[in-house]
Amino acid sequence: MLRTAQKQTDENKGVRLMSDLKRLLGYLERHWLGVTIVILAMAAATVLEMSPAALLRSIIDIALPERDLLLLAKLSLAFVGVAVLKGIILYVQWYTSELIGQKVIYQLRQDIHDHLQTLPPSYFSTMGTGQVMARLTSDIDSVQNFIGWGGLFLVSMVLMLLGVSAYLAYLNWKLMLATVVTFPFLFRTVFWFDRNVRPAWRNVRDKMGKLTETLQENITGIRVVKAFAREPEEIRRFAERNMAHYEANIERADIEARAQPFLELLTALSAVSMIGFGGYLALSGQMTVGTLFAFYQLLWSLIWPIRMLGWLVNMAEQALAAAPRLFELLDTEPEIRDCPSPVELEEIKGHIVFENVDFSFPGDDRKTLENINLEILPGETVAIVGGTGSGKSTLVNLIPRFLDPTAGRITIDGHDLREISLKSLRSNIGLVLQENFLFSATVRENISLGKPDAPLDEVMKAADLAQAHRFASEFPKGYDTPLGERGIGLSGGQKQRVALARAILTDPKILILDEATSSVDTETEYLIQEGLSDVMENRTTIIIAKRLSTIRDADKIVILKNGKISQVGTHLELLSQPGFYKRLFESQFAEQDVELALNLELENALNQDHVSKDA
Amino acid sequence: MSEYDLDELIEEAEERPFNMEYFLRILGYTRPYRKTAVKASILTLAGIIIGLLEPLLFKRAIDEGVMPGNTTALIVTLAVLLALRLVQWAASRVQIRTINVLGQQVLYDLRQGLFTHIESLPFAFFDHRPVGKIVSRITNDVNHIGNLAASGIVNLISQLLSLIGIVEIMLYLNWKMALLSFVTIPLLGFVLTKVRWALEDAWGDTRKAVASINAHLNETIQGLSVIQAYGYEKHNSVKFSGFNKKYFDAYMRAIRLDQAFWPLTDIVGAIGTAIVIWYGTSSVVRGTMTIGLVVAFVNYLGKFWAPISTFSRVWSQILSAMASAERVFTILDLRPETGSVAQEGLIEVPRLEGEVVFEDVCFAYKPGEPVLTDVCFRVSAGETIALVGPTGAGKTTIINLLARFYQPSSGKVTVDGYDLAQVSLPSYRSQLGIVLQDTLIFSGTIKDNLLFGKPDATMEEVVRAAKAACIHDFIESMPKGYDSEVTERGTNLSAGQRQLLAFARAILADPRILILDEATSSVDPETEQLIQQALKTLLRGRTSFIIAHRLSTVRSADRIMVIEGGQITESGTHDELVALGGRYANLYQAQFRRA
Repeated sequence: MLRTAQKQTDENKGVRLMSDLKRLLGYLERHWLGVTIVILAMAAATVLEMSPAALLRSIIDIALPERDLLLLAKLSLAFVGVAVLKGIILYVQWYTSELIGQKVIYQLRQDIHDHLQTLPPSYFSTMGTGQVMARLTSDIDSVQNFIGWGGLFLVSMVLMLLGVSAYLAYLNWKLMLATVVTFPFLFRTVFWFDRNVRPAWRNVRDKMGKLTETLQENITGIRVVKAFAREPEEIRRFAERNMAHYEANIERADIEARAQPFLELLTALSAVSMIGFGGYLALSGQMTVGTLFAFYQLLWSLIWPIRMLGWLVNMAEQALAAAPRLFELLDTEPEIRDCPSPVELEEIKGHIVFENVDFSFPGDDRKTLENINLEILPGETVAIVGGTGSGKSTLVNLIPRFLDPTAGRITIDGHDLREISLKSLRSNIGLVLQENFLFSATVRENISLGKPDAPLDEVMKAADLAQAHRFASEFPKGYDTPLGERGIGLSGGQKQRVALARAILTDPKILILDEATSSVDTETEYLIQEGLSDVMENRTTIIIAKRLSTIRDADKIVILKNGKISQVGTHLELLSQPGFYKRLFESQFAEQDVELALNLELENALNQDHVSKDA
Repeated sequence: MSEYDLDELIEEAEERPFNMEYFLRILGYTRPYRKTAVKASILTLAGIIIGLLEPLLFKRAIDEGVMPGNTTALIVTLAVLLALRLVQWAASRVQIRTINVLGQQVLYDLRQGLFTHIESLPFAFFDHRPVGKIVSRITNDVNHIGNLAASGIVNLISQLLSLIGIVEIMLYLNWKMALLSFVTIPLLGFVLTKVRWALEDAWGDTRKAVASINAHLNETIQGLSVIQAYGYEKHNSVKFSGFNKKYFDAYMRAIRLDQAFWPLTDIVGAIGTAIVIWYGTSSVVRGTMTIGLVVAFVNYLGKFWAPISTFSRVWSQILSAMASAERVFTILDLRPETGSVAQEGLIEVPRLEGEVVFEDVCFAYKPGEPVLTDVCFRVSAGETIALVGPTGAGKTTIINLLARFYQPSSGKVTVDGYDLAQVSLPSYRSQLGIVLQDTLIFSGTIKDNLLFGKPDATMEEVVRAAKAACIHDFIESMPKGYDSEVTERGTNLSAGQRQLLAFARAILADPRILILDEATSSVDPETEQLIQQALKTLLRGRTSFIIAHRLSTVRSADRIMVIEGGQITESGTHDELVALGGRYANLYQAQFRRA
């Protein structure tokens, strides 16, 4: 039973491998003409590979005994002719094959990139960008190397090995056998070497990665290191990693030292056995001396393909391991996508209703959100408040459909979100997060992400409202200053303000601010709020924040606890009852000031009441 | 520009002209391993000599064995050949190992030396210099130099000797044919140098193009939610196809050169072979030369290729090592922070009480732009000082001077009467505790992170510190408790937890003077309460300076200093300053208006 099951999975694996290979080769189909040219060129190159040996044989067996000086000159010149011809053919062969490979890989890379963009961000969050990137780049590299040249190189090496063997066997099969007597060892050593040296190199790279990691941490934290006088300890730690890298390299060198000289020795043994036996054959008149010379000339053409083979087979294996992973990525259908005939939203009012909404992450039985019922009226500002892990971010992520509820539904202006086209839904939503990603582009490009053709004065106006104008205009090139890895690094607060400007510029009907001003200082936040109060008019705004100053003026404050709504009310309503909100308020003052602050709050509210009543 | 700012040109250069001084200095790193270097050279040379003898043996096998039909001569020659090959096999095994040991040892020393030196440099070196650049000095630049120091130079010398040997032997065997065949050398040199260098440039462009592809992919993944939220997919794809196309073009440009390179060397080689065969065989016909000699010549001609190829490779290795050496040596020549390296006249500070005095301290990061002017104050041991003031007023600078990250441009800072300019830094800083806004968590276990300031603390002490910092319960709730791994920069901890961990770290180190830059990021009320509680423990029994953002912290300080425009404008207790009705009073009132 067990054995049959095992056999079946093996068979499945085989089927899978074949289908992956087929799919990989399928990319070559469009380039059939080029592939044909390459294969023809290979065949021609293999024949030409043997020509110098044949020429040498003729010189020694025919021209020399006949003392034909003219023939000698002609045959010598033929050497150059063969080299030129072979050069041209090889050039055509390689250029064509690289061109095909690059076209294929260009397409594959673009497909992967474009497909990536359709996947939900959560697809990557489980793995971390670094890991995804490392896998993606090394997988694409493996496939690229194989498709680009490795595959065809492998074919040409096999062709050369077979062609040369056949020619030598035709010249003298006995000598041919005497020459290849060492080949089983040669094969074994070559494959042993390639199997072992690859993990050894990987180990070297890993150790270098570890060393770099330690370095990066040390330099980033140099203030702390120096402040705690930790330098000796850090130097010792670094020495450890440095030593590990050293040892990995020596291990790698040992593998090379074991294999490479041995390969040389085997090659020499082949030559000795060939000359010894060939000399005997020539002396005893069973073979011409010219044939011996031809063998000598072609020995390297026989050994070289074998040496390459280990490396190329390894490369093919890597590509065949990498390709399925890439195909899997390409085949991942995003769960969140448009329904068959989606509604296109034009002007929306921004009326959002949550009806009995549940949400749990895949593979997790716990409900991150449970039975959420919430109505947000057009133009209303709603603050969502709660402790770490209460489900705040998950709640707002449901609105632009980064996640879909597992039960219940959410509507905007009466349409179920799942019936609205993603494009029109998202273009009506402005989203600012706590960690905002800025692209390696100029300040202007970063702000106008959602509206790439916005004129500069519009961009500046949005930046001004988000309190980003002042620092942006102070940069050396103003709004054309590049940001990101190769540009100016912004502080967390500055990043948030650029992201805010980005949202303001698209003029969305629904604005979601998820801890959007958590990294700016209180003074700047105050200014931002002044600016936002204009912006927020006529928009539905949903705010997640911990600072009271951000929350207090909301029309409605929703307290989330363990994924459920525990309290809803205005600032004053919530302050007058014990609970999370009151504690949040109190924690922002010094003990001595809490009472004073509470009293002032109530007084203020009463005054405001009077004012509105007087009016 | 301070002495610690390097020239941009130096920082970016991929290659620099040959510089004898640097070259000798690089060679100097092999000096401790002179024996290994000599061994490696001898072994390499042995291999080369055997390689040079081989064609002569083949000549003998042909001329004295095969052609005249002398079986004994053939067998003897082949036996000698085999013996030499066995020797070469053994020698080469040891040689590969030796040369790697030499190279890796040099790399290790250079890297360790550079790192140790960088650790001793003052803050001015680290300010405004991206972390990646410093890291790349220690990784990439050191690699370039190390490769040259080890294999590069040994290769260069041995191949040079090999070339001389080949020429000598050829001239000795038949000088006329030798000179004739040398005709192809300029051609070979041209192909190897000119085409090869153009080729290296082209591959360099390809590497750059692939780096931008990866950078873009990285951004797409990291910024995916932003891209989707703003419907930026199409634009982003177009941008990517730009990078993709650029790579395609760069790669194909490199390929056009690369694929021309090998056939060209083949053709040049064939020309040489044809000349030798034509001239040689004609001489054989005339009886002035043996066929074995012709074969030996063809063989030697083939051996030209390796040395010349090595020269052009090592030369470009040298140029890029020069660029790296310039960067690395410039850093190695920078003066270390005064007091960080043992030197005469430095005061070893005894256990401090913690009295801090600033006397007429002025400071400027850049000349002409003073940040502090004539700052004077005295803080008694055990006092808690809150520094308050707008961004850029000079709060952080005061702290930087106190930690001796910088030195005042005039005036002096003393602690217990010791001038900080003259103290040994390890003895002073080991009594200092610093908790910064952006709390750094190093990858390792929670325990490792706590032990940061006191590596020899017992587990009992660690737990006590964690309890005092109100983080013990949280740590215990983690799957492996104190042995739980945290990642680089502490991304799997919340902002509040990171802060508490930093508090515990400081409590364990038990510093005499504490510097605290309070985090601005907001945390939930439960954590907030823990932080305030832990803070009290942290401040007890030591002189503390706090850049305060929480009003509760400010209120409980012994003294509040208001810093504005690089000067102390107000100083006193909370009640005093509120009564004064100045800037602080305003700030205090404001909290109630927009809490």
